[in-house]
Amino acid sequence: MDDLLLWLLAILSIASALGVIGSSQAVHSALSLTVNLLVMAVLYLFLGAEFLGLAQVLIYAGAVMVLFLFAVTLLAPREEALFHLKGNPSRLLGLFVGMVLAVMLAALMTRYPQTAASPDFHGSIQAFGKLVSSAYVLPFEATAFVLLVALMGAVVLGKKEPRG
Amino acid sequence: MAEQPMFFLFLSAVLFGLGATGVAVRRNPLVMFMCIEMMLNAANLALLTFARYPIAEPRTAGGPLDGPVFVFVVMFVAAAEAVVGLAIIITIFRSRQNVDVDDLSAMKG
Repeated sequence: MDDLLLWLLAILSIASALGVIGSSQAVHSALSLTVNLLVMAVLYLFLGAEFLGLAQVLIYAGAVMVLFLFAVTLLAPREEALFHLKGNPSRLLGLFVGMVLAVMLAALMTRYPQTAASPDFHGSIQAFGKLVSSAYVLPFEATAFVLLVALMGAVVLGKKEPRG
Repeated sequence: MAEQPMFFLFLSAVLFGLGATGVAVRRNPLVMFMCIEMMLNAANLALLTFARYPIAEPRTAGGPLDGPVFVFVVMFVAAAEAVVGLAIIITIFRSRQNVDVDDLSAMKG
Protein backbone atom coordinates (compact mmCIF):
# COMPACT_ATOMS: atom_id res chain seq x y z
CA MET A 1 0.00 0.00 0.00
CA ASP A 2 2.71 2.44 1.02
CA ASP A 3 4.80 1.32 -1.93
CA LEU A 4 2.01 1.96 -4.38
CA LEU A 5 1.38 5.40 -2.91
CA LEU A 6 5.06 6.31 -3.02
CA TRP A 7 5.39 5.28 -6.66
CA LEU A 8 2.27 7.26 -7.47
CA LEU A 9 3.72 10.30 -5.73
CA ALA A 10 7.01 9.90 -7.58
CA ILE A 11 5.25 9.72 -10.95
CA LEU A 12 3.07 12.68 -10.05
CA SER A 13 6.03 14.79 -8.99
CA ILE A 14 8.03 14.04 -12.12
CA ALA A 15 4.99 14.64 -14.32
CA SER A 16 4.32 17.99 -12.67
CA ALA A 17 8.01 18.91 -12.97
CA LEU A 18 7.76 18.19 -16.70
CA GLY A 19 4.66 20.36 -16.71
CA VAL A 20 6.61 23.24 -15.18
CA ILE A 21 9.36 23.17 -17.78
CA GLY A 22 7.17 22.12 -20.70
CA SER A 23 4.12 24.36 -20.70
CA SER A 24 4.33 27.43 -22.88
CA GLN A 25 1.98 29.46 -20.67
CA ALA A 26 3.59 30.71 -17.46
CA VAL A 27 0.33 30.27 -15.52
CA HIS A 28 0.27 26.57 -16.34
CA SER A 29 3.87 26.30 -15.15
CA ALA A 30 2.91 27.95 -11.86
CA LEU A 31 -0.02 25.58 -11.33
CA SER A 32 2.16 22.54 -12.11
CA LEU A 33 4.69 23.83 -9.61
CA THR A 34 1.95 23.99 -6.97
CA VAL A 35 1.18 20.31 -7.57
CA ASN A 36 4.89 19.51 -7.38
CA LEU A 37 5.30 21.34 -4.07
CA LEU A 38 2.26 19.63 -2.54
CA VAL A 39 3.58 16.22 -3.59
CA MET A 40 6.88 17.15 -1.95
CA ALA A 41 5.01 17.95 1.26
CA VAL A 42 3.50 14.47 1.26
CA LEU A 43 6.95 12.96 0.67
CA TYR A 44 8.28 14.92 3.66
CA LEU A 45 5.49 13.40 5.75
CA PHE A 46 6.51 9.96 4.50
CA LEU A 47 10.05 10.67 5.68
CA GLY A 48 8.69 11.47 9.14
CA ALA A 49 9.25 15.22 9.02
CA GLU A 50 5.80 16.42 10.06
CA PHE A 51 6.75 20.00 10.78
CA LEU A 52 8.53 20.42 7.47
CA GLY A 53 5.58 18.95 5.59
CA LEU A 54 3.31 21.53 7.18
CA ALA A 55 5.80 24.33 6.57
CA GLN A 56 6.06 23.24 2.95
CA VAL A 57 2.31 23.55 2.45
CA LEU A 58 2.10 26.87 4.28
CA ILE A 59 5.19 28.60 2.92
CA TYR A 60 5.70 27.13 -0.53
CA ALA A 61 2.33 25.99 -1.74
CA GLY A 62 0.74 28.90 0.11
CA ALA A 63 2.78 32.06 0.30
CA VAL A 64 5.41 31.62 -2.41
CA MET A 65 2.95 30.31 -4.98
CA VAL A 66 0.53 33.18 -4.37
CA LEU A 67 3.44 35.53 -4.98
CA PHE A 68 4.33 33.71 -8.19
CA LEU A 69 0.77 33.78 -9.46
CA PHE A 70 0.55 37.48 -8.66
CA ALA A 71 3.71 38.13 -10.63
CA VAL A 72 2.51 36.01 -13.55
CA THR A 73 -0.86 37.74 -13.76
CA LEU A 74 0.76 41.16 -13.32
CA LEU A 75 3.33 40.67 -16.04
CA ALA A 76 1.21 38.50 -18.36
CA PRO A 77 4.25 37.14 -20.18
CA ARG A 78 3.65 36.16 -23.77
CA GLU A 79 3.54 32.56 -24.86
CA GLU A 80 6.88 30.93 -25.43
CA ALA A 81 7.43 28.91 -28.58
CA LEU A 82 8.98 26.01 -26.74
CA PHE A 83 9.15 23.29 -29.29
CA HIS A 84 10.86 25.20 -32.05
CA LEU A 85 14.11 23.42 -31.45
CA LYS A 86 15.35 23.87 -35.01
CA GLY A 87 17.76 26.76 -35.30
CA ASN A 88 17.95 27.03 -31.53
CA PRO A 89 21.13 25.21 -30.56
CA SER A 90 21.34 26.75 -27.08
CA ARG A 91 18.00 25.22 -26.13
CA LEU A 92 19.08 21.77 -27.29
CA LEU A 93 22.37 22.20 -25.46
CA GLY A 94 20.52 23.15 -22.27
CA LEU A 95 18.34 20.07 -22.57
CA PHE A 96 21.41 17.90 -23.01
CA VAL A 97 23.28 19.45 -20.07
CA GLY A 98 20.28 19.07 -17.78
CA MET A 99 19.85 15.41 -18.67
CA VAL A 100 23.55 14.72 -18.16
CA LEU A 101 23.35 16.43 -14.76
CA ALA A 102 20.39 14.25 -13.74
CA VAL A 103 22.13 11.04 -14.82
CA MET A 104 25.34 12.00 -13.04
CA LEU A 105 23.50 12.86 -9.83
CA ALA A 106 21.58 9.59 -9.96
CA ALA A 107 24.83 7.69 -10.49
CA LEU A 108 26.31 9.47 -7.50
CA MET A 109 23.31 8.55 -5.37
CA THR A 110 23.81 4.83 -6.00
CA ARG A 111 26.88 5.04 -3.79
CA TYR A 112 24.73 5.76 -0.74
CA PRO A 113 24.52 2.62 1.41
CA GLN A 114 21.23 0.91 2.18
CA THR A 115 20.79 1.99 5.77
CA ALA A 116 17.82 1.49 8.03
CA ALA A 117 15.64 4.40 9.11
CA SER A 118 17.01 6.17 12.16
CA PRO A 119 14.88 5.20 15.20
CA ASP A 120 15.32 8.53 16.99
CA PHE A 121 14.32 10.76 14.11
CA HIS A 122 11.17 12.57 15.17
CA GLY A 123 10.31 15.49 12.97
CA SER A 124 7.30 16.44 15.07
CA ILE A 125 6.45 20.07 15.77
CA GLN A 126 7.32 19.58 19.43
CA ALA A 127 10.79 18.16 18.79
CA PHE A 128 11.46 20.83 16.23
CA GLY A 129 10.31 23.64 18.50
CA LYS A 130 12.53 22.42 21.31
CA LEU A 131 15.49 22.34 18.97
CA VAL A 132 15.10 25.79 17.44
CA SER A 133 14.65 27.31 20.87
CA SER A 134 17.72 25.63 22.36
CA ALA A 135 20.59 24.38 20.19
CA TYR A 136 19.62 26.31 17.06
CA VAL A 137 18.50 29.65 18.45
CA LEU A 138 21.07 31.58 16.44
CA PRO A 139 20.21 30.12 13.00
CA PHE A 140 16.53 30.58 13.81
CA GLU A 141 17.00 34.26 14.64
CA ALA A 142 19.22 34.68 11.59
CA THR A 143 16.39 33.29 9.42
CA ALA A 144 14.02 35.84 10.92
CA PHE A 145 16.54 38.56 10.12
CA VAL A 146 16.88 37.35 6.53
CA LEU A 147 13.11 37.51 6.12
CA LEU A 148 13.08 41.05 7.50
CA VAL A 149 15.81 42.13 5.10
CA ALA A 150 13.94 40.52 2.19
CA LEU A 151 10.81 42.42 3.16
CA MET A 152 12.69 45.70 3.25
CA GLY A 153 14.38 44.88 -0.05
CA ALA A 154 11.03 44.27 -1.72
CA VAL A 155 9.70 47.59 -0.41
CA VAL A 156 12.78 49.46 -1.62
CA LEU A 157 12.62 47.82 -5.05
CA GLY A 158 8.92 48.45 -5.41
CA LYS A 159 9.09 52.12 -4.48
CA LYS A 160 8.54 54.58 -7.31
CA GLU A 161 11.67 56.60 -7.77
CA PRO A 162 11.27 60.33 -8.36
CA ARG A 163 12.55 60.91 -11.88
CA GLY A 164 15.44 63.33 -12.45
CA MET B 1 10.70 -1.77 -1.54
CA ALA B 2 10.01 1.86 -2.27
CA GLU B 3 10.61 3.00 1.27
CA GLN B 4 14.38 3.04 1.03
CA PRO B 5 16.86 5.89 0.83
CA MET B 6 17.62 5.07 -2.81
CA PHE B 7 14.06 5.77 -3.91
CA PHE B 8 14.01 9.27 -2.45
CA LEU B 9 17.56 10.03 -3.57
CA PHE B 10 16.82 9.04 -7.16
CA LEU B 11 13.66 11.08 -7.16
CA SER B 12 15.59 14.06 -5.83
CA ALA B 13 18.27 13.63 -8.51
CA VAL B 14 15.67 13.48 -11.28
CA LEU B 15 13.81 16.53 -10.00
CA PHE B 16 17.05 18.49 -9.65
CA GLY B 17 18.02 17.59 -13.20
CA LEU B 18 14.60 18.61 -14.51
CA GLY B 19 14.88 21.92 -12.67
CA ALA B 20 18.33 22.55 -14.13
CA THR B 21 16.99 21.71 -17.60
CA GLY B 22 14.19 24.18 -17.09
CA VAL B 23 16.57 26.97 -16.10
CA ALA B 24 18.69 26.27 -19.16
CA VAL B 25 15.84 25.89 -21.64
CA ARG B 26 13.25 28.48 -20.65
CA ARG B 27 13.68 32.13 -21.51
CA ASN B 28 11.02 33.56 -19.23
CA PRO B 29 12.55 34.68 -15.91
CA LEU B 30 9.39 33.78 -13.98
CA VAL B 31 9.50 30.18 -15.16
CA MET B 32 13.25 30.07 -14.54
CA PHE B 33 12.53 31.13 -10.98
CA MET B 34 9.98 28.34 -10.62
CA CYS B 35 12.59 25.86 -11.82
CA ILE B 36 15.05 27.18 -9.24
CA GLU B 37 12.43 26.60 -6.53
CA MET B 38 12.05 23.05 -7.83
CA MET B 39 15.80 22.48 -7.58
CA LEU B 40 15.83 23.79 -4.01
CA ASN B 41 13.02 21.39 -3.18
CA ALA B 42 14.91 18.48 -4.68
CA ALA B 43 17.92 19.38 -2.53
CA ASN B 44 15.66 19.55 0.51
CA LEU B 45 14.34 16.09 -0.23
CA ALA B 46 17.88 14.73 -0.40
CA LEU B 47 18.82 16.45 2.87
CA LEU B 48 15.81 14.98 4.63
CA THR B 49 16.59 11.53 3.27
CA PHE B 50 20.17 11.77 4.55
CA ALA B 51 18.83 12.78 7.98
CA ARG B 52 16.26 9.99 8.03
CA TYR B 53 18.67 7.25 6.90
CA PRO B 54 22.00 8.24 8.48
CA ILE B 55 25.15 6.29 7.74
CA ALA B 56 26.61 6.88 11.20
CA GLU B 57 25.16 8.16 14.44
CA PRO B 58 25.17 11.96 14.31
CA ARG B 59 27.19 13.52 17.10
CA THR B 60 26.62 17.20 16.46
CA ALA B 61 24.69 19.88 18.30
CA GLY B 62 21.12 18.89 17.60
CA GLY B 63 21.59 15.16 17.09
CA PRO B 64 19.32 13.42 14.57
CA LEU B 65 17.37 16.56 13.72
CA ASP B 66 20.27 18.54 12.24
CA GLY B 67 19.13 17.80 8.69
CA PRO B 68 15.56 19.06 9.16
CA VAL B 69 16.86 22.31 10.67
CA PHE B 70 18.98 22.77 7.58
CA VAL B 71 15.93 22.15 5.39
CA PHE B 72 14.02 24.70 7.44
CA VAL B 73 16.67 27.36 6.84
CA VAL B 74 16.81 26.56 3.11
CA MET B 75 13.03 26.87 2.92
CA PHE B 76 13.02 30.34 4.46
CA VAL B 77 15.94 31.55 2.39
CA ALA B 78 14.10 30.33 -0.71
CA ALA B 79 11.04 32.30 0.33
CA ALA B 80 13.15 35.44 0.83
CA GLU B 81 14.83 34.85 -2.51
CA ALA B 82 11.47 34.55 -4.26
CA VAL B 83 10.31 37.86 -2.76
CA VAL B 84 13.39 39.80 -3.81
CA GLY B 85 13.71 38.08 -7.18
CA LEU B 86 10.12 38.73 -8.17
CA ALA B 87 10.46 42.34 -7.05
CA ILE B 88 13.49 42.70 -9.31
CA ILE B 89 11.66 41.11 -12.25
CA ILE B 90 8.72 43.46 -11.78
CA THR B 91 11.07 46.45 -11.60
CA ILE B 92 12.69 45.36 -14.87
CA PHE B 93 9.27 44.91 -16.44
CA ARG B 94 8.29 48.40 -15.35
CA SER B 95 11.25 49.96 -17.07
CA ARG B 96 11.11 48.05 -20.37
CA GLN B 97 7.65 46.44 -20.66
CA ASN B 98 9.13 43.09 -21.57
CA VAL B 99 10.63 40.19 -19.68
CA ASP B 100 12.78 37.92 -21.75
CA VAL B 101 16.23 37.07 -20.43
CA ASP B 102 17.70 37.17 -23.93
CA ASP B 103 16.86 40.87 -24.19
CA LEU B 104 18.35 41.73 -20.81
CA SER B 105 21.89 42.35 -21.91
CA ALA B 106 22.29 45.88 -20.50
CA MET B 107 24.77 44.72 -17.88
CA LYS B 108 26.94 42.92 -20.39
CA GLY B 109 30.49 44.35 -20.35
